[in-house]
Amino acid sequence: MSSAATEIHANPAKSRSSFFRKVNYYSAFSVIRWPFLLALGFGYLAFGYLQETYYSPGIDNRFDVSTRFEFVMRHWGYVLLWFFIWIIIFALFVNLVAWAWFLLNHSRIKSQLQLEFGKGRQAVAGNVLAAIGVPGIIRPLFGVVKTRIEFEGMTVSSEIVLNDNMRAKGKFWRTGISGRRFLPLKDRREYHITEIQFFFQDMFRMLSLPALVPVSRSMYTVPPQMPLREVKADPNKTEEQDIRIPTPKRIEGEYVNYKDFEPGDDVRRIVWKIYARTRQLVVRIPEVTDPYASHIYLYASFYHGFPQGRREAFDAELLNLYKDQVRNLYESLLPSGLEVRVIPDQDASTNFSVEESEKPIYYISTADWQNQRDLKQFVDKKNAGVVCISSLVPVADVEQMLMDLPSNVTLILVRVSDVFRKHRILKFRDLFFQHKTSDMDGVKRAWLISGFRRRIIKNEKQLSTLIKKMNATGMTV
Amino acid sequence: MRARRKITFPLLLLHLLFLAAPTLLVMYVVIRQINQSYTFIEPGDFWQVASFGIGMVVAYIMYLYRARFFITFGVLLFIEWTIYKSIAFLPGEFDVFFTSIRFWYFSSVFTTSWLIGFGLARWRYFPVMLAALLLTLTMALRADTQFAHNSMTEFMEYGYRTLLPILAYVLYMVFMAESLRDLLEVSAGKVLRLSGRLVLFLVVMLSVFIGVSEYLEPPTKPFEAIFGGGAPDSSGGEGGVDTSSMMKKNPNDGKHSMKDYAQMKNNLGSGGNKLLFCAYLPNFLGPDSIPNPLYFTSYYLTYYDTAHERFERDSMMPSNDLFCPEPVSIPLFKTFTDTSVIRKGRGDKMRRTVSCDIYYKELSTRDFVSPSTAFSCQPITVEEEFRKEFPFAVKTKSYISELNSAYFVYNSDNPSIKAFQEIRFKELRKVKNYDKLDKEFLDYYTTNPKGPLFDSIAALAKEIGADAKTPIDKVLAVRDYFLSKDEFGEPKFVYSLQVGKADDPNIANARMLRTFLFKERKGYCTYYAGSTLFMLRSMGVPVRFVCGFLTEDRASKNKGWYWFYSNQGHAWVQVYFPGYGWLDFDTTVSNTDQRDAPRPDGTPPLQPPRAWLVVNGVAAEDADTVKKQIKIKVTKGIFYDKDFLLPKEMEFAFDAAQAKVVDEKGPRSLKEAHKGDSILVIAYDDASKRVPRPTPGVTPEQQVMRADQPVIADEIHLEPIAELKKPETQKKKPLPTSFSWWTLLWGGLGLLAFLLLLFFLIPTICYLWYRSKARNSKTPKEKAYWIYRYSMFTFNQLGILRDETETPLEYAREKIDKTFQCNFEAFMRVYLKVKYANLPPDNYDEEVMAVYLPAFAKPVFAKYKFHKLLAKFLNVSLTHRFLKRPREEKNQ
Repeated sequence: MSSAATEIHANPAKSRSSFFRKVNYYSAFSVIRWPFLLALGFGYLAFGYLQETYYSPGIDNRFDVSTRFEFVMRHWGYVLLWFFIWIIIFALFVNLVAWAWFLLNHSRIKSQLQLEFGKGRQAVAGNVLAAIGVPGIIRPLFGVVKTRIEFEGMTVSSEIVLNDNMRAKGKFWRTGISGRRFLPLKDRREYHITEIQFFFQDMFRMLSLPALVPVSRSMYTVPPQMPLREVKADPNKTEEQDIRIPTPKRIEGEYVNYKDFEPGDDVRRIVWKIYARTRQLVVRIPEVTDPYASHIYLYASFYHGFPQGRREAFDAELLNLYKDQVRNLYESLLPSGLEVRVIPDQDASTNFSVEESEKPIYYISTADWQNQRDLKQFVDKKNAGVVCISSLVPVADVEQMLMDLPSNVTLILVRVSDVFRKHRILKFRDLFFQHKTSDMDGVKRAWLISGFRRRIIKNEKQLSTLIKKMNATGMTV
Repeated sequence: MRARRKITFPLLLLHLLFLAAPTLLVMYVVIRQINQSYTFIEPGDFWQVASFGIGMVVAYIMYLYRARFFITFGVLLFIEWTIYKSIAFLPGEFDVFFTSIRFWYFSSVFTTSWLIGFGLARWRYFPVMLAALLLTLTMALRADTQFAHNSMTEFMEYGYRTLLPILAYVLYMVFMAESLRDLLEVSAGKVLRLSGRLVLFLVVMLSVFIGVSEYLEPPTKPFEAIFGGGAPDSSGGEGGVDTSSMMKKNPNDGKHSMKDYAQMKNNLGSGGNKLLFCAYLPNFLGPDSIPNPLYFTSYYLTYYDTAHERFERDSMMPSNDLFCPEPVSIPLFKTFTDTSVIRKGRGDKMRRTVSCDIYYKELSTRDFVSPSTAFSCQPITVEEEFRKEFPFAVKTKSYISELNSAYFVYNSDNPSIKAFQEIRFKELRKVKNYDKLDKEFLDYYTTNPKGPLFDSIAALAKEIGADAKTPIDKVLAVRDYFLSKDEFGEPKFVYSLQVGKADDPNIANARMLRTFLFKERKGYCTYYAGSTLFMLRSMGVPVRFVCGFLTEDRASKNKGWYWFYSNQGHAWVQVYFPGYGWLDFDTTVSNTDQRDAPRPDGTPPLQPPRAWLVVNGVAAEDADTVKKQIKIKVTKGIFYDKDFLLPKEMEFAFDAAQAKVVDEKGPRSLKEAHKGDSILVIAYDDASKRVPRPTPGVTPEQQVMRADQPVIADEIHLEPIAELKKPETQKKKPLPTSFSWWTLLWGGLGLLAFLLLLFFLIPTICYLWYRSKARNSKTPKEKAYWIYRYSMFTFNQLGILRDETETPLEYAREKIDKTFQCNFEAFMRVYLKVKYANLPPDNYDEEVMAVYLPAFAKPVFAKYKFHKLLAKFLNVSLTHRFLKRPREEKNQ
């Protein structure tokens, strides 16, 4: 009796109470499945119908050829009944053998269990290929072993059928069975796997014998890569003095940009207009303020300035969008040749020991909305090269920040109200064919009429106006 | 986190191949059965299946790719409605009607297939539903229609041809639908593996089925006798005679069975003049009521088995119109009918129904004989004074042909008979050929085996029938050949029982026929019938071999009464004439032994009046011998030959003053009828009594309930069902083992239930085991360990688990003791000390354990309501969770 897998986020349109969540969760462990109940039910109804219609108790129908049904039922009913009974006993027996074998070898199987997502423990959010390999397991004859991955919070994946054989090289006999399936892990975050649920199902899927293997593994999904965009950003931070990167920089004031010609100066830099007027050889000074500035500090704020409410599904989607843009921003800055550092505004997860180069992406992937550290506390005006904010940040905070920030700091505003911007346009085909539905359809509909969305849009407008008004360097994405 | 399935093109092909195609095959079986059961305007199986297939596949593909059901189905209905309405504009009133009916039928098939395609594509468990539906439908169709004849073989055929394919489909669909559902990607390897599994699966299913049908004896075995022969005899038979005949019935009633009288040669010896039965056949000719006898048929031989060199009965013969119940197995006055044999007789010209009363003397009461084509059999009572001679009697009904009079069949030189026969021949000359006969039927009844002998018979037939154009002329040519004389004026063929070897089979085989036809030209009826069959078949005339009794009218005193002696067992042929059906022809040359020997016709038994009421019930109380009354609780019975079933049990009072009380041993007195006895009461329709007349339009039940009481009973049979029970009890004896199928059924279900119960009792068993270990551990160290395991198991089952961040003592203090106040922390200190300090428990520790253990369970369980506790202790997964990490626990 399988149950629908639980959504990873509470869905406003389909929100289920904890009770139903639990019922769904535990119903998966039901030994008796629908085919068994349906077979019994339909069998009973069919027999009842025939009995009611064609058989009159008390009358010896066997002597009336025109209603010889009783005989047919008695003969073939007998043969078929026993046939079904033996088949079911056989199916149950082979299933029990495989199940018992699994339980007896539980420890060994647990230690050898293979579980991979995408590149192992990291995958791009979306449809993630999950692969499970179980050495030393027996599949019931004609039956099947299915698994479900349980994530923390009683969230389980769809069934992954172990219908591939694992074979050692050059060996004919299989050493185990494996299966894989794309799982929709759309949230960019860490997933903690607490358990692998095994279900041994017989050939008719009538009975499902459960077995649990607790595991403690984690994986994380990263935002997908998007086409890079041009982002203008100045390095404002020097970490090591041995790197000199002459980067042009605008400086205000008259003659500030010129100096007298000295031997060694590039003659091409002589300003002939000044020589014509004053007969003095002056050269244009390269626009370098800090010849040793080598790093761009990307301050990506996950500050959520709106009051808390029952909108986890919206927040999760907004977060996904924001993370995508932050990753894109980070990667867009990389080609500049400067070192780009993503400054966290929250404690970074330490569940994974990732390589240094992957740390920014890991941080972006695992960050969450926070309301503890606003822009004022977060953005360091001396170091900031690029500041990325979402439209969930209050206008006042941004205004305050802009007033403090040097003018060369780039401000990126991510318009999270565009989270569901791809609205489907009804086509003629839709009259006859259902379009591909998504778990997010309900969220999308709720989003369209949500007051939260209106408040965000209003905030975005104010932020855009403010950025223009303050003449800040920046862009809106 | 629901992952979606993507239907790729290869996956679609697999679905069509493994789901849609088998469904189509099964629907072919069902549609064919529907066509056999109901009459439509010749739609043709192929076109229906094609229409069904197109509808199902189109719908299946559309709905697999998420077409909207209501809109698309609405469009389909609209198109069908529009076409249906447009048909009205076609020219020709009849054409419109014909076309519209055909369209209606085809559109119904198409719409049904559309819905099935939709179900298969969209509903996961639809195959289970569809399979149950089809199984029910086929059984309902079968129950609605009549079986062709009474053979067990036909039931088996029905099972193998209809039920088994559907059953196989049920299992296949459940197996394959789920397997395909689990297949998310298609690769050559996966398809091969799936196909391999499927083949293996079918082999296993077939093995189990064969095992079940071979080793389990169905409860219907006793009924095989009722439904007569037709089941192939595996014993090989005796003497090469028809082995699938009534011989199988093994008549142990000390009487002669048809087996004996199929041995035409032997029955003319010392026992040749035994009276087997007499019959009253009210079939008369003309206004003078001249008795018009008919040959009495027992069975047909239609197939020559060259491997065993013998004629065979074949239950598979096309249009099997043989009616052969076992008369003794039918309750008194119960009418056993099968009108489908009339249709299968394929003849309605010059036919009518006659009834015939047959009084059994030496003939086995398990054998059925009657003029062809019989369709009804009703055991009747015999007047008491005749019961000794004729212990059993039946009333039969036959749909006879007026062209089948024995006078038409006899080979006689009597000019008046010859002239009479010309009437028949003239009528039958209207049949010019068999061009319009369906091929299967014609081929079956005109096929001869291959071989030089049969070629030579065919050559002879060709020579004999060179001038014969019509079928009847061909038949007459053969007959005349046997009756012809040689150049010396001597008959070419003579009747003789002294032919062949002593061990030759009684029904002549091909070798014997060769000697008969081409050498000795001497033989008895089976030689003539066999030769005629091969010759006529070689000329393209459908013919079959008939075993039965030659009827001779010797009754000068009692018109319509015929007496059958053992040497009247006879063989002849029936030839099929389109429209007229099967007609008897006898080509045996004159047989004085059989026809002309004077027989002493006895006194015919008095025919009892018709019974108006027959009830079978239980005595409500002891018979009242003073009033001569008996009260019987009745639910069922027969009212003027019609069954009735009362809505509830009723008490009927019977006046037994004039009734004859009998049981199977003989006459009894009324006082022997006691409360609870099974009693059968018969009340005759006698002019001297006031009995209700059958009223048209009123159910027999209502009429019976309205009948005046007490009803005057004529016969009271005590324990009348004893005889019926005999076959069953006899059958039960030879069972090789003592188990019955009910035992097996309940055993199987019990085993299943036991396994399930055991499964859910695992937590409780574990709990008791841990508790027992904790209580009975001998050393303090062991005791500490087992108490720990016992406690932890209990907490695990209650769902109170230790977090990884918690220390055992924190867990004990914060989670356990705060909730249950069971002093778990104190115990844990002892346990941890024993475990890690490697010190034996001191007296204090032992005291802690001694106090902790008995007081542990009560406060813990007291916190839960019973149903919650029960639910937790039925949860096997929690137990499994606990059991799978014993090492972790030990390492704490």
